Amino acid sequence: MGKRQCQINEFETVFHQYKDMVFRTAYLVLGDANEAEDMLQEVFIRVHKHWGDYDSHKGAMSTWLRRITINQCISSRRRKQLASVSLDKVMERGLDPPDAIRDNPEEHLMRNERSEMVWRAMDALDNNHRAVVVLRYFDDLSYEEIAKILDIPLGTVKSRLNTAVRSLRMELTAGGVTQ
Amino acid sequence: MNCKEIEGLLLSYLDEEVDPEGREAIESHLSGCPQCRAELESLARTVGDVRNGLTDIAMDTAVSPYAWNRLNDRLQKDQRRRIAFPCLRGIFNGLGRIDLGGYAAWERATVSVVLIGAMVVGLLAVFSSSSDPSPIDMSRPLGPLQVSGRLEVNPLRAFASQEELEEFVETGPTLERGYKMEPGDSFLGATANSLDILQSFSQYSDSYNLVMDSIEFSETNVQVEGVDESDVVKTDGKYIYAVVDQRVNIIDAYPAEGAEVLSEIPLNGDIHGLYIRDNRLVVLETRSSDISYDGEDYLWAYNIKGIYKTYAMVYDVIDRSNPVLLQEIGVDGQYWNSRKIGDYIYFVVEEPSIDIGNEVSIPSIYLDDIVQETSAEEILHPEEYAYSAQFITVVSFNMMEQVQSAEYLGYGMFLLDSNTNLYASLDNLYITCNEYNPEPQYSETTVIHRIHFDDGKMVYDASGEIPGRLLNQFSMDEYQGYFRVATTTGYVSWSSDAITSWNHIYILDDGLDIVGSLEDLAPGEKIYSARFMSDRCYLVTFKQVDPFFVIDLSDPVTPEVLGELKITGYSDYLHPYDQDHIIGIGKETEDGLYQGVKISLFEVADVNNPKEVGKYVIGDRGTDSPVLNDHKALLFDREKNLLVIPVLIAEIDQGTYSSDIPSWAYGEYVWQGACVIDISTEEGVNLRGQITHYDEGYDSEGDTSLSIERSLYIGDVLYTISNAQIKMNDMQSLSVINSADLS
Repeated sequence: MGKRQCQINEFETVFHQYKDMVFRTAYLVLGDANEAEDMLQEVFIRVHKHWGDYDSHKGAMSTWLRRITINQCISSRRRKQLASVSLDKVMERGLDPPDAIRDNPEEHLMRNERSEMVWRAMDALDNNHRAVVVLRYFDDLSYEEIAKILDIPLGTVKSRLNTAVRSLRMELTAGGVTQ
Repeated sequence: MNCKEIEGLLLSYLDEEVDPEGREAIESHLSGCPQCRAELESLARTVGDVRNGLTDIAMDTAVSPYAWNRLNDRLQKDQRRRIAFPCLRGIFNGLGRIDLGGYAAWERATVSVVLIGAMVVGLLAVFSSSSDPSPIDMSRPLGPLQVSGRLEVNPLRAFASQEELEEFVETGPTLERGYKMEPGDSFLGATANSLDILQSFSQYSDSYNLVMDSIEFSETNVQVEGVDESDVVKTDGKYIYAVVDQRVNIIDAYPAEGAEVLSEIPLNGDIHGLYIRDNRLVVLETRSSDISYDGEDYLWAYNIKGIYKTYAMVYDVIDRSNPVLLQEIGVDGQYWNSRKIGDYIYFVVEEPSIDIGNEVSIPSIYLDDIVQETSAEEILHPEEYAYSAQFITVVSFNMMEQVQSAEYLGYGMFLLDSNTNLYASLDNLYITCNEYNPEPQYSETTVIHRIHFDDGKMVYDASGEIPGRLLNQFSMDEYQGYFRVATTTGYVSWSSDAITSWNHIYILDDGLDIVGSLEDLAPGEKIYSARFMSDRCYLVTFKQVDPFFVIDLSDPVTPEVLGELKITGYSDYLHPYDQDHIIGIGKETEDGLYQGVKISLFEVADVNNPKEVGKYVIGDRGTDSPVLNDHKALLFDREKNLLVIPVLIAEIDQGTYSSDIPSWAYGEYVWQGACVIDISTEEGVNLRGQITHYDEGYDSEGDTSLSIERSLYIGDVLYTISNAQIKMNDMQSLSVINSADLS
């Protein structure tokens, strides 16, 4: 029993350390906070199940988790219409709005408009393309790291990003955010 | 470069993903082209908005404070359920290849190899005699997988209906034990007993008899002689077929002096590997059908079924400069694994079971324009599953024959959870699945399902279960009717000296029941590599030092350890050298921390006292080779005294440490290329020389398309292949003969 307890503690530490990273990535790819919550659960169930397979010789914990997350998200076939994100939505979920919103509601409103637009534009992408966009422009990973995480050739990363960004531009232009 | 080409590069340019040369070309174009400048600015604005937008969105939300409680609850519940029902469960992780195997095999395959007896082939014979595929019709219908009549208690059974399948996916684990099958019972009305056993044919092998001019060449380094594994580079001794990004290049490779790219097959999907036989080339590709890359033709593909399809595409390459697509055989889902035995390809595709609006969509099989619908009654499944059941579809066909209709395809469909590894002998395919039991002490078992095949016809005929988990395909072996497996239970404790892991060997009979075992080897360590060679097993476990075990399996009932050797370092891959020697490729270690890449030669002539008779260490800590994760990256030929591995070398600048270099210090990446190694029992292991495609030096921040992934030889020429180049060197002197651009 002692041994198990020890593992749980270690696991719990990792959970708290990486839950935001996993949740946010899932949220951006899946486009739904509830889905992302479920995904967070799924990812860590898997992490728990395969705890012994993680080999620090082969890569960082964050990379391993990101890989599991993104692949889970991509293979998740639930493609709900993306809900728009707004302060209301955050409140509705019973969560505290981040400090930035409380401190400067006006600036938040402007930011929020842009967010809405980007959100809708992302909606026009499928999970595969959303994944490369999130890994590149949110997680700030290099093309090579993205290729490794998704296990796709570098050329595919490039072509997916090109397709995705051009689609995003089309959507954003139509909505008036980008000229 | 013209505007169109520049346009395609602008995003990479913005993302700082263009090499200095490309950068220069783009900048010089931009300075004279207002149109492209405007396009760049527009892209930059979009990217900026996306960056900021995503950050805002992500920061505006937060993980529920109850997330941990919810997770913990679920873990506890799973635990209770498993304790309550420790009965047979086939279980597999949806993660399967994607998350785990894939992680372990990260460095995307790359490189090639040769080996066990290079085949001597008459080139003229090969390229002229088989010009026309058989006037004789040797193909025969294959059809769906059958269930062997001899199975009494059948761990896998078929669904009775689509409704049952949906309920299975919806409900998750059930509590019943193994389905009782009557002898001779079958879900498709036919049994193995009634199968026609048709003679195998060997038309094409005849052509090998007409050897007129023989040149030796290397083949992909495979686990089992006669069982081919797909790879990104293949050769037939004259031509080289190489996957480069999303293209397949066909190169007239020999003689090297006139080498040139003859043709390229552009594809849209992810190419997983190739098979070549005579004038037939098979390309394995996964396409995501939701997007066409043409820009204008952009679709929202919210189609639920078939987002991914995996195809085996058969090309006629009789004219190497003009490959012609003959047929496409496809399955819904993503590529998992494949083998070629004789003329038959077996490829395995995985697809999540989809659960939208209570509908479960079963993968279809495609033959060109024909859709072969499949039904729940054809899908074999275990009684329970734990996480995400996914469809595993095995498709077989004769690559040398036209597949006239869907009946000429063989297929078997499963719904499994946590498929982990695949092993194939000349007669059987083994699919292993992980099963995980939280009590006591997080034990794991592995369930093995065997599919017997005979020229494409498949029969599911046994399942078995053993404690522990497998490392990879080399953890398994079939020999003289026995199936041998090496497993690990528990996990290595890196933070303490507590003994929390054990390693085992199991020997299973034809019914996949355990007949012999050797348990609790190397307590506190885990298996890093295993290799079965006839009645022996070599095993490397590791925590601080590398125990190299020699295990005698000549009596399947009472296997025993003959000898062990403890040295620093560990081997991730073991390769037979000869009867008395084995090669280990892994890493050197110091204070339990890995250092450079190590190639060892072990002598096992005196089985009780194995010795390391040679070793060579490349680079400092951080040095890596794809061979450590992918055996196909190795080129080895004993008779030619040749071992080639691609390596990314890290070196520590001694000047940065005032005193001794600590064992945890990483080096900087300074070089990538192929290390050509002399290996012999007399001289041990020594560096013959190095080949790189980075003629201007390796820049770890720059373009990596010149990184060598595979090597092979034809005659006396050593070929190295990167994504941008193929280089030809003299095998002995390593002097450069020629090179050709692939990009």
